[in-house]
Amino acid sequence: MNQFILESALSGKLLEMLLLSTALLLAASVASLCAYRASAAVRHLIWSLAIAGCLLLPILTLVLPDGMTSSLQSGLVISPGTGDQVVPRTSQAADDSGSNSASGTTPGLAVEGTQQRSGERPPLSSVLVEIMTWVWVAGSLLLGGKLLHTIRRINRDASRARPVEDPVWLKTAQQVEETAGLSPGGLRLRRTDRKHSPMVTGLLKPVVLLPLDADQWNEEQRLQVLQHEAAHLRRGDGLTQFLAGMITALYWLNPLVFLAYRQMLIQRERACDDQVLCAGADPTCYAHHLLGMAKNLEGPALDLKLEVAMARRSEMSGRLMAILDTHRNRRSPGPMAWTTSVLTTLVLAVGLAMITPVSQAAPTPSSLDHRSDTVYSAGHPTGKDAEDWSLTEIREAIDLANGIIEQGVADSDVDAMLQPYSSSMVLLAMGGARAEGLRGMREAFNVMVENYRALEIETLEVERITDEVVYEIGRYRYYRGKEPRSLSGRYLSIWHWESGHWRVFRDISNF
Amino acid sequence: MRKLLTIGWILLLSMVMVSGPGSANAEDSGVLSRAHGRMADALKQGDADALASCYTQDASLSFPLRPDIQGRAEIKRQMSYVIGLGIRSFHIIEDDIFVGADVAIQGGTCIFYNETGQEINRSRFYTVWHRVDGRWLIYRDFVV
Repeated sequence: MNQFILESALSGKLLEMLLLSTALLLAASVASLCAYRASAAVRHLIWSLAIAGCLLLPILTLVLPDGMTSSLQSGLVISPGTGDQVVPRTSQAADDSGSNSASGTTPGLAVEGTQQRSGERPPLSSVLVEIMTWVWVAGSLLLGGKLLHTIRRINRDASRARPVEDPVWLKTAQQVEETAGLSPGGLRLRRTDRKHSPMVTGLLKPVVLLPLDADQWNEEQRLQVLQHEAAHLRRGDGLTQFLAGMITALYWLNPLVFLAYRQMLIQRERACDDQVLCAGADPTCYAHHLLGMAKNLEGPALDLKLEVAMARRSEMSGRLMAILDTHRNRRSPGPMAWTTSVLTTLVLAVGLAMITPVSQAAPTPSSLDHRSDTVYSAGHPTGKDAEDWSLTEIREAIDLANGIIEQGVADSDVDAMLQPYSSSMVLLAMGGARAEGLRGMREAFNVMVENYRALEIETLEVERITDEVVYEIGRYRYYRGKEPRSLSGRYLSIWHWESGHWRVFRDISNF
Repeated sequence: MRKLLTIGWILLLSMVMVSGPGSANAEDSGVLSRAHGRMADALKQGDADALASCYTQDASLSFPLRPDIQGRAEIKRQMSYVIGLGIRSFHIIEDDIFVGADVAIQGGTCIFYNETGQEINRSRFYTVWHRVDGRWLIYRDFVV
């Protein structure tokens, strides 16, 4: 059962995360469209932050106070005091009376052979959600695993590549290091024995992998290639791409995250092209060189998913147009653009995490522990002490309370249902299920109103124990709308006189 | 010594008053101890009649997923079944006790053991007791 709770909570979280990430990525799409005059580096920043924001969302839902972000997770109610005791989400098997469980009693005590009904199973929607959860987990693990496997493969390829010792290349590298602001030796060159696009690989100690035919490039081409790769190194694109890849693996159920990932890669390459052009490269020559490299690619000689490759055929057309566009903004984002983008993402992520429960009218943490009892209180004459109440009058108060609870179920009004309950209420139900306090009762009632549309309560006995304590025994029946299925059983409630009102203080019920 | 006893009594009284309606106190718990003792003896001896006599004539037992058991005759049959399961002793962990002049309610967990002291089962319960002719008998028993 606890596994089911976990899965349900996980499913609720999954749905919540999908919705929140969709909203965030849509906002990034709008921002990117609005920034059509901005440089590729700015648009890359927008998409990178949006993907990073997706990772921030689940963290925010954990960091923000309880109740603000948990409304989609109400699969089951976990009692506040005891982590291992739960109120089942549904009691659909409750009308399966006549269990064949081995049970018996001793005086005052009972022996229940089976605490849990063997036929109990979650509803179809829960099963589907559970399946979806496992599909999601499996997909994330698969993609995440593939990503890690790719890293290993690229590292292996990089370690097999020979360090470049050609003085011509080393001289150009030194020149680029100086102009790009890299530390001496920061541009580490290695050559593979295959034809591929020049690329940066490695997260902590990135290297530039040059293809087999790199020596055929002229001096200008060598300079442009190294300027492009130096731009990747300076921007930390390898690490950004790895993190974005992991987040994409986590959110793989959301197609928008793949779109964002792709846009991030496209804008990243264009941003690096812009830096080459800003360094003085001739756009036409650079475009021609890029096109030549793309034509000579042998296909996926190396896995192109994690390395930062300079030339890709699929995006070449738009990229060449961007290179040849002389009016294009090619500036890197300044401190103001960075600050604005980061703050906007943060505000948006926090706002989304907080808007979710508001849109679902979820109660705030403080309101979970309180209830308005104006209707119920109105039935209590003021200035009367507990001992002044006759049993008949107490019975009338109980009838009033039960009527309020019945109406509350009919109206799906949990606040109304809570009116007669004590703040120190403890509810015990079959199988060790337990709810404590108004918060626990609210959660239990939320589950009830989700599953049932009507309730009938019939009081069978009321007896006074002391002046301030009364017990009530009765029958109840919950109805699922027009369906014949229902949940019925007996209950024993203990009522206690609290601040001028009779309140339900203990409730034990059977199916 | 007398002062100490007075202070102790005041402290005890304060604790009882402060301890709200739900908490069990030693005085109330003791009220039912003799009745529990009778039940324990009857169970140990495997005496269904004696066990059933710990209930009022109109007592009823309520269990999950089963019809209520009502009256001493049905209760006796149930007790025979319990004895047949090998249950010979029990221990009660009390959570709540409310004691009036002739009515009491006790709530808690009951743990059942077989002859070798092995735990067979544990259940949460609330029990309504009636005092009949000076003896506390079970009137209603709710188990979950």
